[in-house]
Amino acid sequence: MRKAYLGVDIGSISTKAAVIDEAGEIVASSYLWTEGNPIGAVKRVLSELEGQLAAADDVRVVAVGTTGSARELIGSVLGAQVVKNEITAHAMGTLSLHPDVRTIFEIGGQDSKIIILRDGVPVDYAMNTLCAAGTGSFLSSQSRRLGIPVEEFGDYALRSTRPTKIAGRCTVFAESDLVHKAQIGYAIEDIVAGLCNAIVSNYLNNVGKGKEIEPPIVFQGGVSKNVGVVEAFKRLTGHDVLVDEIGHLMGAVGIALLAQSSGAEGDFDFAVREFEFQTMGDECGGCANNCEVVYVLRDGEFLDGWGARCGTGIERARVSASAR
Amino acid sequence: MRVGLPRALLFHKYHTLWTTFLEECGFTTVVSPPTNRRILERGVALAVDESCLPMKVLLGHIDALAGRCDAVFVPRQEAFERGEHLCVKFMGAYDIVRNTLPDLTLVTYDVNAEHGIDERRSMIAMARALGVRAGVARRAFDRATAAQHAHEVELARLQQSVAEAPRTGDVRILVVGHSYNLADELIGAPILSYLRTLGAEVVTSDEVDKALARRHGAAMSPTMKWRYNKELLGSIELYRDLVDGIVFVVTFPCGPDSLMAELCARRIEGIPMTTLVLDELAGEAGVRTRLESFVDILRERGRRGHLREVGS
Repeated sequence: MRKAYLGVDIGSISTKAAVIDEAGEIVASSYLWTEGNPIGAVKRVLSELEGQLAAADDVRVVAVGTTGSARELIGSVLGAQVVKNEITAHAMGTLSLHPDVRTIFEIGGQDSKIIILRDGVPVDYAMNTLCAAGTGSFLSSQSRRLGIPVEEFGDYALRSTRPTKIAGRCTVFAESDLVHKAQIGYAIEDIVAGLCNAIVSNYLNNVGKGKEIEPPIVFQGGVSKNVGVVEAFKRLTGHDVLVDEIGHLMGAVGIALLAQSSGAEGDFDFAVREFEFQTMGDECGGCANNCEVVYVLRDGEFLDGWGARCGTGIERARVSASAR
Repeated sequence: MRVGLPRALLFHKYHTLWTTFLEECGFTTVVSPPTNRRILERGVALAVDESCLPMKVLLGHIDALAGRCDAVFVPRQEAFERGEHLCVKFMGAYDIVRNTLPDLTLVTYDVNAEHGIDERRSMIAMARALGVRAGVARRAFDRATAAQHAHEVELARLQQSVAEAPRTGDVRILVVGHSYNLADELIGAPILSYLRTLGAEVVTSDEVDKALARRHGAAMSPTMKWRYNKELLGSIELYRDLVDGIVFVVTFPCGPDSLMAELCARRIEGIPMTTLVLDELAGEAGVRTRLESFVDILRERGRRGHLREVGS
């Protein structure tokens, strides 16, 4: 019987999970779309993992960690020992693969971040602020506009010999720039390459601004699958940029490692997916703040709640849940 | 007569001065409640879209005072010293309120050193116009400024003693932001309390010896002309060696603050910094992710002896 640790990274677009053994080796993993239903996604992930583990030696999950934007909800659902932000989780996961990494670029569906590490320690980071320009969702909307599948975007960029200049600062300007360049006769390859350059220079001038970008550089997130963007990063930073086949699992591996190092253990059972989980939203109404309280029921029983600025909101949610 | 004071903008800095003065003049003061969602929603509805968040908060508080007092107090402050400016919202607050809620009775006073209008004469003139005798108004002003001074000295002393004391937590963070943001129940207070929940010690930039801070701020940027940003810059100068990290709390779309955060990012080395940009739509989740990871990073640095050594 081997001990194992489950890490789940639930992002807005995709859900990633990894089970690692005591040596930190991945023994099972899963990657699928969240589709606006984190609990459903986690149930599907669990059944995939259980299937993979059935074939493996006798391993038992003794601790669970969750990260990503739905980490609190899924943390409650799974009874996680560790619930941590995705920056720390990504840094830990990446370090397990590249102990000497000094810079991590990450461009996901809705956000982008940079993590600076020195001697195996995250020392600085930045995230995009209010605007999602230059992230994955921006790329996919532009690819739709150009009529190119987003998966082929990178190949188009690589065929370009003379990338055109596109304003990458704002989706609105980029889009009108794009249309203009197409109308005056630029080849589609040059426009796509220009867009990849725009994403990278936008990234380096925003989240990467003022950061000491030093190699080894690891590039992660959905956009790292776009070879056009990878090439643009290499050219604009002047360094090699590493993209791992399992780069998308780094958050999940990292949070599994954090669960392991926490030393806390509990009874985790894959049968948790048999439960009926239901999330409810309510306006508290206890004061003028009227907090939106979200809570989750497990087989009709109150499990956990969030969103209230004080204890009243959660208490009200608990009462209204038990009155149902 | 009941005078209403909106708990917004410079109230967070000058509440002692203003309430003492008005009460010494014989008025009853009514202060709007701490900002809540409803106040913010009213403010957002009343303000033009392009207003900054603190201005929206101000309008919400003014609205909350309507019907609860006989007049609302909104000063117009342009410059305390020659060659120095306050942000235009302090200049415009009175006129914006007057035009947004024309039925409301307002009382105001001006401060504009450029035109020789000083705070003392101006506040006394305001009281005189409301029927207060000259002697009473003068005495009220003297008492109010003394009370304000004592209050500021006490705040600065408390802050300094926190900053210099042996640590109670493993990380100490300087939170830089205007007092109308940091002291606001809805905007800054959740950030400060969340940092404390994470186990961090918090030092705030708004509680500092103001004159000293302005001198240090001028050294850091001789051309920074906004008085309160000069104070914030100075507080960074004063505290940077006593803290492990700096968090900037900026409300959208504040020009002076974004300039200041940019200036600091370029000029200050060796100490991790992060900027939170808040607007009325900001969800708490994003803010928490940023703060939690920031504290994690400071903690890792500390654990591995990287505290204030690695330039990043």
